Amino acid sequence: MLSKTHRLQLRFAALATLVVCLTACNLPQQQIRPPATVQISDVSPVGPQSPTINPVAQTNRPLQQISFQQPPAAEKTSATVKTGPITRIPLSAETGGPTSMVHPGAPYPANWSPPQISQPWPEDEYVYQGGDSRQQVNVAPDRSIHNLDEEDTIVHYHTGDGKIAIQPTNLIPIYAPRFSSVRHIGGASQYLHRDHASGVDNPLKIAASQENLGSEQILQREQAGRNISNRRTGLYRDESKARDVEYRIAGLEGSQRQKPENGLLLNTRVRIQNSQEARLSLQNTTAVTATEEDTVKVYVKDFMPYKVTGQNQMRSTFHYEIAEGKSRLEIKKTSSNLSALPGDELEFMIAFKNVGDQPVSNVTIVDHLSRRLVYIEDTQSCDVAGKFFTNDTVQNSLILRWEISDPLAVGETGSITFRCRVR
Amino acid sequence: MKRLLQNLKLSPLLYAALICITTVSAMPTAAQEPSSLRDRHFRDSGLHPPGQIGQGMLLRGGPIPGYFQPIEIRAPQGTQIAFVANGQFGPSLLAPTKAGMLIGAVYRMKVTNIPGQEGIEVFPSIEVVNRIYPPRGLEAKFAIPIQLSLREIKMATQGLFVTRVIYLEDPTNPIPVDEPIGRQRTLDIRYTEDPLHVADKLGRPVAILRIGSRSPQLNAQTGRFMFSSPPIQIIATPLLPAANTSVGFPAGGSPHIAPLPPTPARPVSYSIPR
Repeated sequence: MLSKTHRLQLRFAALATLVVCLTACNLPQQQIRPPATVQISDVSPVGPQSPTINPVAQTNRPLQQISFQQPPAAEKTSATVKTGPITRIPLSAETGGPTSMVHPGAPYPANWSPPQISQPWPEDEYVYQGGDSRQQVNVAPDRSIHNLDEEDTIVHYHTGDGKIAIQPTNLIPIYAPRFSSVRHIGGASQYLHRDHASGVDNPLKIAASQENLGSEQILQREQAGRNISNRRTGLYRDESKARDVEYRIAGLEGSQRQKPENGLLLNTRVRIQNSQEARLSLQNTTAVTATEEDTVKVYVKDFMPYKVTGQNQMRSTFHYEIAEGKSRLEIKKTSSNLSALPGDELEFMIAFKNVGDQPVSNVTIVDHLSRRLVYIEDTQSCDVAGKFFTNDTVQNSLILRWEISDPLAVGETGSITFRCRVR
Repeated sequence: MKRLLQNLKLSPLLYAALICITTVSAMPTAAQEPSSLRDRHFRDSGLHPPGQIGQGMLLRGGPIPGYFQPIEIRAPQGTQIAFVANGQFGPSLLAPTKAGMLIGAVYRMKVTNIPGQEGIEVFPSIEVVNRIYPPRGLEAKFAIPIQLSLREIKMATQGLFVTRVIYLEDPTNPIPVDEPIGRQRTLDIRYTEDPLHVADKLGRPVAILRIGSRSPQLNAQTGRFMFSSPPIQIIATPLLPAANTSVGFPAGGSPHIAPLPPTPARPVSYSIPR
């Protein structure tokens, strides 16, 4: 028997447990779109040290190490796609501008975001570039790319063992809100005009009832019942009857023929009884079957006949010697500015480096630009030999594609720059 | 065990308390509600009286009360704009100009010196219903643009009433066209459609511009025409010289001029206008 104090304590304990459970169940379940955590330093990518990307957001990627030491620009090869000067973009997380703008009375900081939702927020004010969001990109053996969504930037290459590897870049959020408007034109006494407009709605209902008259046309479709007369398949019934007659006649002839032949084969003049006709017929069938060409004619003792089921034969055998090691390619994308107004120009740089212990070949960099970005013609440059292509999409976005000609040796780097205008 | 359960028998008062706690805990809080849904205007209409939509947004919570959202007023070259400050129209400013406006308040403007419409004044109003969240220090650069087109001003002078809802475009499905120079992309809707609901489908409404041929009926007692003169913060725009109104002004304003402190609010009158 518990005392009164103990009962009271048990009640409080049960109540507290219930409150804790309900509070835990009511926590926010998920974020809307957790962006990747990208930390970009203020150091130029062509300098001694490149920006370091936090690999925390890419734990699911096969390549985890994505920071590297880029050699000086003077050591790079001179074979370039475009020999124009490569402008070095200042890789700065642009937060410039007048910092003295303070809004007195604002109770929240400028970079406010809801609890448990990380920056950048809100998403509808940003244009994203890079990464592999939404559907995961696949590359077929013929090097055709599937599921390349808008804003995606990836590189795919052939590893030393002949496989195709895909590596996305980092995600760049660019603050570029764009505004539009919806205009409603009415009278100065707008509510009076609204009443008038509601009266106009009634004739529209009558027009809708007229559309129901079209259902009569559906009755006309039943005129397809004339197709019943097209059942001329009855003619086939007549033909089948004719065949039946022929088969019957053939059967009669065969039965009449068997009797004298059986008598000759047995070389006997014994009258064949009706009960022996069945045995003779079986023996006759066995003899006829034994004379077919498909029957095995030669039997070899202790040798089983082979059974050939097809023409597929192993004609040749290839042997591959796969060198041990791993092919890794690191790629990252940077922007000259992280905020832009409509009409501003942005310069992007895609830097890549072979950080594995094997050379990689068929290196292809693909960048699917957002519809908010317009590629400025003849502004791309690549410091390694390759080809450049552009492809339009049905959504009026543009896909940029660089195919590096030569294999990328271990430690070799390359960079691509191009400019875009914000719509 | 049976005795233990008997000892746990709760009183009716505790049962009622448990039911209340369960109900309150199950209610979604403002932080849990997706912002996209919180910003939608299911019960509002773009043709509601000025201020109703913005006040409704304040009730929904979020970092919008007390924030001066920068607004950039664009107009044909040479147009002068005067904001209401302390119950009267302030000095005229040459467009484009920027001002920080409170969310939920309605701001009356006086637009004068319209090219081709000299001698005509229109008095549009702006209601800010939501804010944007630019990086720190770039609030004035990324102000919400509101373009007063010459066509709309002419329509207002002809007796029409134009309601324009400015919205933030959805970046996942943008219109792949360049931003027109000197005007704002506008979607004209039918008379029976609600501009706020259409803007809800296309993006996030942030401001409402109303412009019509309404003659000012200044009433110092009610302050109804001035919407009780809410506080305003003029940003980076010099005052127009009184003698020479044709002085050129660089586009985008001068960023070196510090913003003026916001004007104090006048007491709101609740008297019913006659």
